[in-house]
Amino acid sequence: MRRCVNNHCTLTSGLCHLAAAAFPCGRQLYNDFTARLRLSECSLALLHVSANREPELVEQLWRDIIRRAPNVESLVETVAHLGRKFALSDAVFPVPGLVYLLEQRAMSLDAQAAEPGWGVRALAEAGVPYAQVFDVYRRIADRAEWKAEEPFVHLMRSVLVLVDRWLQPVPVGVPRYSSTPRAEAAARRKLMWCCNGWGFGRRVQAIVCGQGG
Amino acid sequence: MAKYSFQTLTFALAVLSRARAASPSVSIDQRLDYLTRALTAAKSAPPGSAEGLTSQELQELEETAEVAAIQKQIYDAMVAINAPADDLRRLSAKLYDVSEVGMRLACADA
Repeated sequence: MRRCVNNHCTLTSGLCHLAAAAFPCGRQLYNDFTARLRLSECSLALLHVSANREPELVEQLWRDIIRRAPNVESLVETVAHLGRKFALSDAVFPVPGLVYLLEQRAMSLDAQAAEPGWGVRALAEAGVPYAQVFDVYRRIADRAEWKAEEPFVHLMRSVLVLVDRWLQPVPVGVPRYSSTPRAEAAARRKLMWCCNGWGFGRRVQAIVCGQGG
Repeated sequence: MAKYSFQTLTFALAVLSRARAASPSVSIDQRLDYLTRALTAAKSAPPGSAEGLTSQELQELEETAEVAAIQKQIYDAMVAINAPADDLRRLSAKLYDVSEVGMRLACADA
């Protein structure tokens, strides 16, 4: 039990009462402002500080953010910014769901509207490790809805961008994305194995050889 | 030391009261400023000591400041979309508490 000296107990309990329980209108922030005015980024920020996990609501908010982005560059910037802001917390920055939503948006755009792999670029700029992003693409590629020729080719274009970025030489002193050299080597072996299975292992090998790796 | 901490807590309590004052004359920026000052004052006493706040109390104060920062973010976003002046006035007229945010979101989602 906390020691109380003179008026300290009254003061500290008063302070904490004010800090923790004295803002009774707090519930209104979401319903009265961010939801009603469709401020989805602010709603995500509220979810980030609340203890609750709301995966369906988070997906709905991300769908809204992606749908309302005026152009691809703006969307890349938003995703990167929010990823860094939320420290990649999977409660509000669910990488698997985001890859899926971003690729769906990319599929719906004219191929001329943006360069391939902008979703990969957005996640990389947010700080998501390439190995993690690749793992998500590998799982998405196994889904039936992406097996048709056009979606599959689209997905593989993004994977090639990912591979290209991932295998770029890293300057000395810059930390690797994977936690250890061993984890990095294992992730790259899985990458080669998958790319061989998808029919462009040689192309990936050419990227590696092209940089003298 | 005890006297110094007592004065510090008195000051923290006073600025925190200003931060949460339900008044249209206090702007959201002023509220954030008061909260920052309250937090700085509260942190100046050794945590966990009889003179200072416990780490849990300090965390609660930090969470309050965190929510206030989001409230400011919401305010800026509302200004950017030219939200109705009445909404802006209502948002800046008081501070909000995170402890009930999760419950409300759960209710809204249900």
